[in-house]
Amino acid sequence: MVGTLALIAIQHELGMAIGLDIRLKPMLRAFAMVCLNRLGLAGISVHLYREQVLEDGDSMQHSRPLDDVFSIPDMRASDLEDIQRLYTLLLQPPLDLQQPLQPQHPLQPQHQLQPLIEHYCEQHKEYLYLYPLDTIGFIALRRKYRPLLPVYLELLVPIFKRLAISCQASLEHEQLLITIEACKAAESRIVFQLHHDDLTLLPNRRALMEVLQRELDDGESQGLQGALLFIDLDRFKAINDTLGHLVGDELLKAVAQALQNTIRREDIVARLGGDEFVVVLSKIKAGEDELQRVVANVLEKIRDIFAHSIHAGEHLLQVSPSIGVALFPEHGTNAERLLRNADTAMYIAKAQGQNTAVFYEDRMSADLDIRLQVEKELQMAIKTCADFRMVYQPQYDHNGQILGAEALIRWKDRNGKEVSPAHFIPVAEETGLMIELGHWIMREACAHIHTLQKLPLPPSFKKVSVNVSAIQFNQPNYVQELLKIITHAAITPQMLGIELTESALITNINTTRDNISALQAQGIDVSIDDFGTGYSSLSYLNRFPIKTLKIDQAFVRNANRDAGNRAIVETIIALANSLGLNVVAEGVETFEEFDCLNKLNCYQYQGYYFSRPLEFTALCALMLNNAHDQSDKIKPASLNRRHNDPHH
Amino acid sequence: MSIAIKTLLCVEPSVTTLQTQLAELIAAGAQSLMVLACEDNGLTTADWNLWLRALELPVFGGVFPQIIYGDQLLSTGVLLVGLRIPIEIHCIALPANPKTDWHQQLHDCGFDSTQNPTVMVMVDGLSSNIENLLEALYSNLDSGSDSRAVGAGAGSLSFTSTPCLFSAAGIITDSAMLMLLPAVCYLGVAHGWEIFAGPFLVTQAQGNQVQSLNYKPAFGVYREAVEHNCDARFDNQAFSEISQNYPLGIINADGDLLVRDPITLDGNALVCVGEVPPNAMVYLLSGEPENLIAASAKAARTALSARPVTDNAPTAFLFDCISRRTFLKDQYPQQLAAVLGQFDHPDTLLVGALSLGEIASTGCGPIELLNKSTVIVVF
Repeated sequence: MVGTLALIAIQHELGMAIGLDIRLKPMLRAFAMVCLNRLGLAGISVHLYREQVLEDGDSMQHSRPLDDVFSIPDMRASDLEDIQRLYTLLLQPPLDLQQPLQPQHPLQPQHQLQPLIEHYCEQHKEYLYLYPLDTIGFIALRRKYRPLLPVYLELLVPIFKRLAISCQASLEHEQLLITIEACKAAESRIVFQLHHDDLTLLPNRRALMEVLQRELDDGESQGLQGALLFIDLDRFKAINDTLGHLVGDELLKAVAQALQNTIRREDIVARLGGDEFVVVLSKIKAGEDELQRVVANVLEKIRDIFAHSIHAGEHLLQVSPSIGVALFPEHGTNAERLLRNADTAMYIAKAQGQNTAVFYEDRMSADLDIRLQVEKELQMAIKTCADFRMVYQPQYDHNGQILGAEALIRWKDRNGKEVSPAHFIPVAEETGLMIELGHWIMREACAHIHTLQKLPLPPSFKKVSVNVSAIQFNQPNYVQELLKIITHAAITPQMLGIELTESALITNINTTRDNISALQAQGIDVSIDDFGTGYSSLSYLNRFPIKTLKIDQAFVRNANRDAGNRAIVETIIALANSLGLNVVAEGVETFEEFDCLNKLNCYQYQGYYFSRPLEFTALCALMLNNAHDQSDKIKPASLNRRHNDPHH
Repeated sequence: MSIAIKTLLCVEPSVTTLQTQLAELIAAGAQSLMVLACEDNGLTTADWNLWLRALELPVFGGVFPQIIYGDQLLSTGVLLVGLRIPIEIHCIALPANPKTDWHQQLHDCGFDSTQNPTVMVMVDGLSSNIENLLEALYSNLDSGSDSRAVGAGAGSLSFTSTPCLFSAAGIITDSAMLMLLPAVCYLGVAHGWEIFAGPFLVTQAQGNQVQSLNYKPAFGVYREAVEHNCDARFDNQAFSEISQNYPLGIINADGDLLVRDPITLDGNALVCVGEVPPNAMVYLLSGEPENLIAASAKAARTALSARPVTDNAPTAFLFDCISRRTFLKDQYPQQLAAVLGQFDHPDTLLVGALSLGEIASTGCGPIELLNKSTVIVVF
C-alpha cells in the first residue's frame, strides 16, 4: 500500500521533472522517463497538434490532424494511430478537459464509448490512460499487467496541466527558433543573391569587383600578379533567338560549370551578365614566364571545353568563346580599369574572328575609342540622315534577265569616309538606333521604288528587296507602320520585298508569322537572308509563308571547288524545291561559281559577277537600258564588264 | 527443449583447456557460447584475446567476482554454456561523455529486437552511462511484442576498471554487450530489503551522487538516520562496512522499491551504484537474512510461474548482487538452495554470477539497473 507521503513524493518528483529543458523532445523525454519509472508504465506517448484546437461554442474542432508524436518506447505507427483514433472518438462533446479519460474508472459521460476502450485494452493487453494536454494535444499512458491505482489518476491531472503549459512554451520556443533560422536563412539568401548570379550561382559583377580589387591590392603589396580573362560566347544571341532562352540558360549553366572545373582553387569565375564570364587568375608569383604559363594553361583548358559540343538541356551545341586577357598589375591596378581593358581585348578578339583569345595592348583602347566615336557620329548622322544613301545590287536569272534589286545602305562619316555597314549596323543595333535608321531606309527605298515605277521597267523586274532587322520587325505595329510608308510613297506593294534573317523569324514565332502573313496579303514577299547560318534552319521553314531563300555567300563561295559548300547549297536548293520556294544565291563572284550554281538548278543570283551595288541613278539607267534591250538577253560576263567589276 | 545444449566447467582454465572444452561444445551442436568467468581465472588478457579472437561461434559473457553453477558458488574457474540457438550480438562502447546519443548508437549498430523477444545485457559494471543506455534500449525494444531485457554488470570486486566483457574482438572494458535471443524468457526480480527510515527528499543529486537530502548534506542525514537506528558508528567503521547494510530505496506507484547501494562518499555526497534522480523521495532500507533469502526464492517462483507448463528442463540464469553475498556471508548457500528448491525438474540447469549491478525489465516495462537484487531469468 502506498502511503500519502509516497503519493506526494511521486507527485512532487513528476512535477519537478517538467520543463527541465526548453526544447520539446528533451523536455518530454526527461519527464517521460520519470513517469515510466515512478508509475511503472510500459510506455508513454505525447500527441500534439501543430495548431491549437479551435473552440467553437460547445464543440471542439481540430484545425489539423495530430501530427507530432513523441513516444517511449518507440511505437509502431499503427498502434499510435489506434490511440489517436480512440482519443478523437472520446473527444466528443460534452468533454471535461479537466479529467482523465481512462478505461477502468470512466470519469467521462461517454459511457457508450467504454467498449471501444475495453476493446483496445483487450487487443493490446495493456491498460490505457488518456489525458488532454489543454488544447494542444493529449498524453497516453500505457501500463501492463495491472492498472494504476485510482488515486494516481487524480494525482496526474494537475501534473499534465503543467506539462501542457510546458509543451506550449517549448513549442513556442521551437517556433521562435524556426523563425530565427528562417530569418537567418533569408538573410543569407539575400546576401548570397547580392553577390551571386541567380542562373549560374557564380559570383556576380558586384562580388567580382570586390574580390578583384582585393586581389589587386594584395597583389600589389605582396608582389604577386595575375590575369583577368573576359570571355564572351560567340553567336550566343543566335542560340537564344533560335532555340529559346531556356536552352540559352542551360548553355550558360553548362559553360559556368565547365569553367569552374578548369580553374585553380585560388581562382575565381564570375558571370557579368548575358553571355559574359570573367575568370580571375590570381596570386601568381612575380615573373613573366610564370604568369604566361598559368594563363596559357587556363586558356588551353578553356579551348578544350569548347572544342566539344556542350550539353544544354536536350541540345548539343557547338559554341566558341572570344577571350580578352588583361594582366595585372601590368594592365591596371584598378578593378574597373582592368575589367574594361580585358573587355576591350575581347572585342578585338571577336573582331578577329570567333574562338580567339587576345591579350590586351594599350593601343586597343584607342580602337575602342574609335568604335565609340562611330556610335557618337552615328547618333548625330541619324538626326538628319543626310549622310546616308541607298544603293541597289541587281539580281539576275540564269538567262541574264534582271529580276530585282536588293537595297543596301551606305554611310559617309563627317570626314567623307565611307563606313562599312558591317561596322555601323551592329553599333546601330546594339544602341537601339536601328529602329530610327530602319525607318529612314524603308522610307528612302519606297521613295526610290516610286521613282522606278514611273520608269519603263524591264518586264522581268519584279521588286526591290529591303533588309529589315529583327529589332525592327518585332516592333509592335511594324506592319501598320510599313503600310503607312507604302501608302505615303504611293507605291505598289508588290514592288517591295522584305529580307529577314533567321534570327528575326524565331524571336517571336507567332507575331512573326502573323506579320509575314499580313505582308503577304498585301503582296509583299518575304525572303530569308543569309540562309544556313542560323540555328533552326530547317525546322521553321514551313511555319512561315515565305517566298524565297537567299543562300548565304559563305556557302556560295568556291561552291565549284569546295565539296562541302556545294553539298550545303545542293541541300538548300533541294529543300527549297520541296517547299516550293525560290532560291537566290548571294555573293556570286565568278563564272565558275555561277556555272556550278546553274548546274545545281539554282537560277537566281546576286553578286559581283553580275553587278556591284549601284547608285540609284545607275540603277535607273540600267532599267532604262534593259527596258529598251529586253529582247537581247544580257550575258552575265558582259554585264560584269559593263558594271565595272573590279575582278575584271 | 532447453536452450543450453551443454555446460562445461573449466576448473583449471588455460587457452588449451578452453579450446578442448569448446570443441566438445561444438561437437554437441552448440550454435553460440556464453562464458561466465570468475575474477580469479588464471588467464591473462592476452590469453583471453588469443582464445576469443579464434572463436568461430558468437560469444558473450563476462568476468565476475564469483560464478554460480547449480548449487555451487565458485571463486575460481570458467563456465562455458553452449547454446543450441544462434544469437545476434552488438557491442556498444560506454564512454563517459553524457552527451552521447545512445539512440543513434543503437541505430548505427543495427540493433533490431523485432524477431528477438529477449535481450541479454552485460555491461562493464564500473562504466558510466549504463542507465542512459538502458533508457535508449527500452525505447528501441519492439513495442508490439513482449520484449524483455535482463543482464548484469561484470567486473572486479576490487572496483577497479579491468577488461571484463567477452567479445569476438577480445576481452574489453567500458562497454555493453547486447545479445538478442530468439526465445521468450520469464523473469523474476526481488531484493527483500525493507523500509526502516524516511522518506527523505532528494534535494540535490547528480547522476549517481546524492548531494543533499531534505536540503541538508546527504551524508549527515544518512548518518543520523542510520546511527539512530543501529549501534554502528561511522566514526569507528569504514563507510562501506555500514552502508552495505543500509541501502537507499526509491519507491514507485506500486510500492516497489528500487534499491540504490551507497558504496562510498565523495565529501558529504553519497555515491551510489546507479542514478538517484533529484526530487525523488528515498527511504533508508535494512534487511534481514531470512527476508533476502525468501525474496530470492520468490524471484525464482515468479519466473517459473510465468513459464508455460512443459516437460522441458528449464535453463535458468541467476544474477545476484555481490553485496548480498557479503551481507549474507555464510548464509549465502541457503539462498542458493532456496532458489534451487523452486525448480522441481531434475535436469534444471542453473548458472549465474555474483554481479556489480543487475539489469531487468521491470514488471510494467522499463529496464532498470538494480542494486542488491536477485534477477532470475528462465527459458
